[in-house]
Amino acid sequence: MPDRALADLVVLDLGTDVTGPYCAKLLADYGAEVIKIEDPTTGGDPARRTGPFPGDIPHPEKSGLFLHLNTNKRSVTLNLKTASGRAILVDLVKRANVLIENGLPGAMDDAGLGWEDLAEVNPKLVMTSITPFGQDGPYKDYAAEEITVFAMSSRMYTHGQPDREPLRYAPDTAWFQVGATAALATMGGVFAQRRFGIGQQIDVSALEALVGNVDAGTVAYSMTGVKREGRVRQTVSSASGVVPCLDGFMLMIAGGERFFRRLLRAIGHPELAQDPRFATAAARAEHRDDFDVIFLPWCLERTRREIFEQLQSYSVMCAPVQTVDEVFTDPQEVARNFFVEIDHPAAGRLLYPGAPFIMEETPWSIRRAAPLLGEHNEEVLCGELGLSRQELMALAAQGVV
Amino acid sequence: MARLPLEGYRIIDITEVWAGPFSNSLLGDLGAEIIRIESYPRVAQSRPASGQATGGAGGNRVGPPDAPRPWDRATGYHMTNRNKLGITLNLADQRGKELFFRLIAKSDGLIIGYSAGTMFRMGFGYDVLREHKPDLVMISMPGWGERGPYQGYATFGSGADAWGGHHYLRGYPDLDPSATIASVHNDAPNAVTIAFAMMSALHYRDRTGKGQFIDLSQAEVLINNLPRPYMDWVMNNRIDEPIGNVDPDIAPNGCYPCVDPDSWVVIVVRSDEQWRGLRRALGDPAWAADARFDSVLGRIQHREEIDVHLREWTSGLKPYEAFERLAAAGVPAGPVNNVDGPPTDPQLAARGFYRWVTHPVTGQYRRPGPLFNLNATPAQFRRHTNLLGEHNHDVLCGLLGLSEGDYEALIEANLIGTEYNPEFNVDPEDRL
Repeated sequence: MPDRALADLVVLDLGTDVTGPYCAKLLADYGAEVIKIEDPTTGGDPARRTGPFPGDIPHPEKSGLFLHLNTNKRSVTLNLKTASGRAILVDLVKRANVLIENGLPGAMDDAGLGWEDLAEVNPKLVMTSITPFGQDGPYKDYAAEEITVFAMSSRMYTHGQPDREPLRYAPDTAWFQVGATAALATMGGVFAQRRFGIGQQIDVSALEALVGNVDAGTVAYSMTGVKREGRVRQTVSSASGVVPCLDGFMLMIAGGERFFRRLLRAIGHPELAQDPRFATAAARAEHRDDFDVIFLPWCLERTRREIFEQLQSYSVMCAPVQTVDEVFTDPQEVARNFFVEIDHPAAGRLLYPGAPFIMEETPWSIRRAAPLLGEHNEEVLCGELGLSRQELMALAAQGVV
Repeated sequence: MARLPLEGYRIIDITEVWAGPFSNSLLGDLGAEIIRIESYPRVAQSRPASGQATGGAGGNRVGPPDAPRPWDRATGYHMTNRNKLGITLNLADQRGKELFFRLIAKSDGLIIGYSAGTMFRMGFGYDVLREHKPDLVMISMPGWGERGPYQGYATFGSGADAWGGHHYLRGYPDLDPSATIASVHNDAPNAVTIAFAMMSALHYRDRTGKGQFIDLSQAEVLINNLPRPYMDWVMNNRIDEPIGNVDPDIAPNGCYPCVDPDSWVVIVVRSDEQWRGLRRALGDPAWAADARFDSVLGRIQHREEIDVHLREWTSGLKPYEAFERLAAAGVPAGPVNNVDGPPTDPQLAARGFYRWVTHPVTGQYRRPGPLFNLNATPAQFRRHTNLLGEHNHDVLCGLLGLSEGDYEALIEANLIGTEYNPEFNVDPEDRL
């Protein structure tokens, strides 16, 4: 069996919904041993109650979101409002490299499980804390949702039609970005732990993770004071934007000098490169309609696939606007065997998104499907922490697990 | 100064535009020495060659069109590049290749941003590079990945966004996909994922002495970030439609107009407690006492009626006023900021998020800070955005030990330089 890149890491995932669990999933899928701690008093991770569900019938073990986010993790239920629940967590922390949580700032401290408390039993612990606005500052206690943080980050304002309201991106995308950011930050902590023997808390503010990784407008504004335009209908020309074709729409990314000349060759009009109407970016913008008259009919006679292949063979950047079902049969994904089938005791055999990147020596792998709620209580608490079966049953009776 | 987690590691950056360069900047934030190699004499895609040229990285320029060194003035370039040493090198030339191999021999990692197949055509396959550095970690990050039939296919992040279903899903529910423009969203999660991949492989190498090649598809990163629509297709054979700003299970919810033209606030009322908070924030108006609005289901059923009243309230306020009143009452809300919003936001100010940096060509400016705070090993912006060829001498003579004579010969042969000649901003195919 091939080795796993992060096989030496033990991670406690106290995260809920998307950000914390995606951070832990990245670590788990590349080899870390991840124990997911779920609250038995609320039915576990709320993602279990978010769809999609097969047949639209809600079931805590069949949420598509939860199943994807929690591959390769074991689930232990622990009521951290009880002293014995907290004591068990502290025991687990002693053996862990990393703890990931996305509760409100101060919530872990209030439970006696803050960084200072946990560092007493494990001074090398990396504690990754993900919150909407960070651990301090005037907004630290504000309630937030993905769309509210996304709106504040300044991406939403330019997205959509000028005469309509600004549009968010598809649900979850910003939270996934924050989760991946937290995974990178966590690796920073892991390197400092391994190399310098130190632990630390990592404070990940979702707002900062988004604003710091935003499009050119932010830095442009701070460097020049020029505010970018709000929402615009379309960019410079149909060589750069969404154009209709025979069976849908193509996204064209051929507005730049080199790409536009390649585009002209690809559609059989190399001579237009010498045409003053199209010679410069400014001229192309001015004569946009003249190019549309040539290019749009060419597109409307062809399918997305034909245009994609023809233009890409001339190194013209473009892509079909697809719906997700089309990706499953896309020749690239078929050849790369991207989607993987995973068997789950409740949800059955389903295809899941596969590796976000392929490590050739230490491949991404599914060693176990997402856990049932509390599935590994006995395995972890008795098998690894040494509790007796009687003790476990007593804890269950007291509502601790 | 505290030690940084990646100090002592050297990563070579041959990438363009956003996801690739920014991933290297993130590794630089964590302490790695990043050596960025830029195309020469052919003008790099991310750099404008003249005051008029369009640059791939977009954004505008600092200074007038005739200001010197336009290639150091593109704001898009500044956005994605910090904490790096920058060199130029003609990698198409055999002498350039040899220097590149010598550099690889002294490095831990390489992130390469060529389209699929190009690294082999250039003679930079992993098998070749590993001869110079047996435990090298190498990441290739084409839009659709290195392997597979899409050899030579090229795209920005927006192409993966369209191909992977996100363009469709992020549209207005009542308009077709041409109503929303391209989005470079996908570059952002890819930048952090590429840096995470590099660290995971370096972690393994440190433990075992083994390097490896990593094939990263920016499109497959995107698919991982859209599990709900993908799993809905798998589970129910249903193609999810765009929902816009309104989650059908939450009311009131959406984007509401504020007092100034094109100013907006988003509001999410998920629970009864938040509904009570909303009523308090609005001063307990009579309309909101209606018993039909007391339950989640009731509010969803009468969504439009509530929205009429809520819009009336938001329309008299600035986005930050509405946000502050709602947030104080426990209601999730957010001003829809343009680019001038975050730099004056009280939370970001209180945390000292923005940092002043000084650049030799463009002067002093503020830039967003690191993406995260490692409390014991905090990131610093140690180096300004690299000028074109700024560290040619440091790297080639200092690190690789070239003699001054050999270095001058490279300049003479036009294999390295610190200034672009716009004449070289052409596609090689155009010269045929």
